[in-house]
Amino acid sequence: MKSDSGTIAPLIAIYLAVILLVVLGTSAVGVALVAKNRIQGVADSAVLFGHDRTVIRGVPEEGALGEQVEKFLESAQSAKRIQIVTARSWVQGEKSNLEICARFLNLLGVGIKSGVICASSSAQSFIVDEGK
Amino acid sequence: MTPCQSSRTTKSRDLVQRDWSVFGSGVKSRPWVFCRDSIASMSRLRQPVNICSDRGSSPLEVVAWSVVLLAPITPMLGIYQQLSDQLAAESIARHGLRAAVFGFQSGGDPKQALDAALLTLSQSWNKEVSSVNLQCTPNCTAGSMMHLEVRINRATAIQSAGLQEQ
Repeated sequence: MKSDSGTIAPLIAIYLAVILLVVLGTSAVGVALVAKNRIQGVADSAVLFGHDRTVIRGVPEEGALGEQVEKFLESAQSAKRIQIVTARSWVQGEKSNLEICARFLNLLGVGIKSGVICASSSAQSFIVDEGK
Repeated sequence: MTPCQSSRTTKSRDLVQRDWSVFGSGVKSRPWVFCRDSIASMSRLRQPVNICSDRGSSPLEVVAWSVVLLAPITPMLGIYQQLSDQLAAESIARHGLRAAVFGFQSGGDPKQALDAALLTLSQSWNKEVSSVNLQCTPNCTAGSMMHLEVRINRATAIQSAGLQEQ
């Protein structure tokens, strides 16, 4: 070795950068999981709400499904903390489908919001009453 | 007398000569070797300077490195705890609300059904639920909406579902 002179500062900086990266990466994954969970929950509840109110003899009505889903997203408290970017509902056979893309606001109570997360959900009636 | 000792007591010109006499014959390729203490006084000579002192405290270094490397563990544990609470709250709220809705639709008391479900859910997550708030808008009748807010420590989750129209 010709020279052993130098500074330890770059080594410390690299260690700190790696630690910071690990903390941020872990937090981002956890936050995405939480946001996905909430948005999936809203999508599930919304499609059930819409399907229950529009199904006639086991077949949902597409136009009414969209209206009911919109009504749910406007009034549900669970949807207050998410910012809906797109919401698309459609009927396929006897199945009601919903796909929403949204951002979760004020994640972990620290005022940040997630990126756009999409969740899709379906509902179908398996027991059809006589009258409905 | 070593160069380090001499650097404290001699002037720069004397030190250069003394160092030359000490290292000049043994270290041919690097005749100009000074100590840390003499760097300041030698700076005006504009010669390459090597530090020949490796003095220091190993325990102090261990403590310093330990602080640097272990310090992020505490905030990481806090973040992990918060995320874990949040995930548990979301899951408990979702499944608890489903239980309450089923309890209502089967003609029973939704709060009773919720309490029974909360016991199982909190045990399965190994979390203690701080508070639970079940409410309906406008009231708990068919066609209205039911909301459940679950709080675990600082994590809050809320879920809503429609009560099936009769």
